[in-house]
Amino acid sequence: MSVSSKVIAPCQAGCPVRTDAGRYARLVAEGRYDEAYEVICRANPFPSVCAHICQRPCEKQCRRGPLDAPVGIRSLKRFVVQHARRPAPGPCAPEPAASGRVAVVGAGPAGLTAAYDLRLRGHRASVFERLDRPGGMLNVIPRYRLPQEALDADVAAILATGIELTCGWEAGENTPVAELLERGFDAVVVATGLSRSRGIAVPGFGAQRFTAAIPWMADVWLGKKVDVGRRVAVIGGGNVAADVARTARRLGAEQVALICLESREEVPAEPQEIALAEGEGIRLLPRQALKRVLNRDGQIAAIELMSVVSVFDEAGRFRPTYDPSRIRTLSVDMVILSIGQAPDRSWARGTAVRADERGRIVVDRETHLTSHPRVFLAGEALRGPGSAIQAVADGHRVAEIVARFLELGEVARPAAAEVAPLDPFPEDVLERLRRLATVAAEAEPFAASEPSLDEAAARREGGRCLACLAGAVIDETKCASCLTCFRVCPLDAVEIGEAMRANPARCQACGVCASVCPAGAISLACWDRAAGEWATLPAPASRETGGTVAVVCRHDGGSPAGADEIVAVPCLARLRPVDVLGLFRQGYRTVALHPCAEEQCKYGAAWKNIESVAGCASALVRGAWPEARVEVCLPAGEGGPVGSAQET
Amino acid sequence: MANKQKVLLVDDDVGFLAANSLLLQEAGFEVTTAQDGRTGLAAAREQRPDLVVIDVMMSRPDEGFALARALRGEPALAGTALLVVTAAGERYQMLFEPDDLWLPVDKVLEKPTAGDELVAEVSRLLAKRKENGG
Repeated sequence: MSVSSKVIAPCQAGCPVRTDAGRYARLVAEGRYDEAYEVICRANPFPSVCAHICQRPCEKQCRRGPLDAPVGIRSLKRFVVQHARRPAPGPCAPEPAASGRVAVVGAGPAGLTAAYDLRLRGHRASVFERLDRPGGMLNVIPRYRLPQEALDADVAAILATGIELTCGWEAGENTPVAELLERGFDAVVVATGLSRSRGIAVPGFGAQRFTAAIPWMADVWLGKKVDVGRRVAVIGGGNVAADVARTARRLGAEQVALICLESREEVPAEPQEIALAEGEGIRLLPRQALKRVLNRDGQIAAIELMSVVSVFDEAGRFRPTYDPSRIRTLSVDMVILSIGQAPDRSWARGTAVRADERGRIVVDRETHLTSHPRVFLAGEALRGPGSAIQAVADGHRVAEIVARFLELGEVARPAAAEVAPLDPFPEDVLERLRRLATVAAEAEPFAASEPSLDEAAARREGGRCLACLAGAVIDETKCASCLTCFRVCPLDAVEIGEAMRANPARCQACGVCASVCPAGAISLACWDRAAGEWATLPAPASRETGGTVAVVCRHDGGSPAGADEIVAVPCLARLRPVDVLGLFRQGYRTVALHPCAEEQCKYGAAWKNIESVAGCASALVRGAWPEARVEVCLPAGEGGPVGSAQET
Repeated sequence: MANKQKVLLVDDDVGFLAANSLLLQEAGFEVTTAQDGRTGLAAAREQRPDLVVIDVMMSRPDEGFALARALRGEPALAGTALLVVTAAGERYQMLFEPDDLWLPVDKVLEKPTAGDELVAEVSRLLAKRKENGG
């Protein structure tokens, strides 16, 4: 880790666009869906798309993983996009006179993100797309994985900022990119993706029904007439190959085989995709390579496969070796190649953009600039195969470079924004968290399939977030070094040094320390938000008779009867006696504390703090307001029936 | 005067053969032609060209691929540069690149080639071959 690295939550560090996933997970837990949506959209203009098909790099980094299972972040995102009130997109403010004009070639996630960012900065952006609709390769993802309405919603919101879109425009010899510059565009961003499938010049190549994944999937999902065999061999082991196989099956293929060089353990497709494919009756044939296509009268009759000895060499490079003596024959009538994709570089013909001996565009990978001073390359066409969210991230990067170019007239290298993920929980913290009984008994609840969550499930799932870096911060100037926090912390997160400090690698924001600190020196991000609500609470109707204010756990979402006002807070254990006194000062005479049930408490041991807070507050108020009461209303099974009051 | 470098063009499109023969001759190469894989292989064995330009889709859709493998398998032609020029990529919407197993050639160009693109590529491959001692 670099000394200057900013430490961020691992889920955020794992996300290519740095979405603050922990923050929106916690907002979902608190029922704040619109705010959660804003957090998502701040980093990602494709929230609905990613809610369905993101490969979840955030979840792979989640610190909850070693405890039981990662927080189901993608499921939460899907819940949010389905339940939040989406702000009506509108055109950006009129652009300043000095704004630039940018042509973006390719309306996939990288191109549209670049256009969107440039538009938000006041520049004019026009997008030119080869297909008859925007979305690029997102259009060939099966609709059962990415519903059309999800793609349409994101694209509509992006275009509504005032981006001009031209479909059916193919960059090539007849409409060269250079022409765009002649038409007055100040810069061109090429984000044409990987629109071509790689071919194999295998013997027997070229019979009818010998085809490639991308054009075949494009025909299927763009509604064109499509041919499918009865016995289909899909060559490849990636996610696209799995999509192709499952699509062929849905179109009526009786037998579908997924044939790949890799072993079952090495298959590049996500394990879940392979499991779903096999669950639909698709046969995985690992460690097999296509050797020959056997044709009869121009039709495919069978294929010969040879055994693969190894796929990677000792240095980890892709260099397969074969055993040609071990041959098997498979009776098939269709072969679909899905062994990788490549960029279509025909757009560069007729331009000053140079290519190397192998035909690759010469480009500075940091500045995105090609050999032409106003043509930039982005997305998979620059970076190679990647996920949709990686393409979005590259769209952000190129937009920043191009915006600076338009505004300052220079192509500058981006400043290194080094971030480092928060360290994993130490083993002893994991052990203590397990004892706190907040751990799910079962493995990841959404692993086998990913249905949309209902509200209760979403709030529960959001509540599983362990609040990395949202924990205690001790203000050195207020701290009296009384060591109370050190004594009460259930995770030994408080460290004694020159100043008291809560170690973020151990702290999981239970808030016990903040509630007992006599100097009020400890703050928590969640509590700061709740304090804002506190201040806006209306005074009771009559200051003489007072009124009852119920303070409820935001995660539990209860609404007790009989209260004049209800305030939902992230955790009642985080209340300080002075907070309770504040309510009496506003004129209330009864404060009813409604904690969640202990087994539902997301903070475990923190729950036990409530009674001491209530006791302390009660003792303090007696002197000032003799008629004032503090009640702890325990849920059923926690010492009394729901709503029973215990005067302290 | 140094001997001219020999280029063999194998393509079933007589228009392609005529046009590119002229361009290559103008550029100083000695050019012969063949119209299918079988006669192309025989011509290569007989003439020992420095470079063979190979079309792919002739009487069979993979005929050029088979010819390339056959030429590469001939020890006597081991030093011959092989250049595939094909519309198969366009036809099948696939990208073909040289690989040791199925397409052991030096370069793949997509048809249609621009005016001097073929001549430039032939010159580059032969210069590279010379650099490598071929």
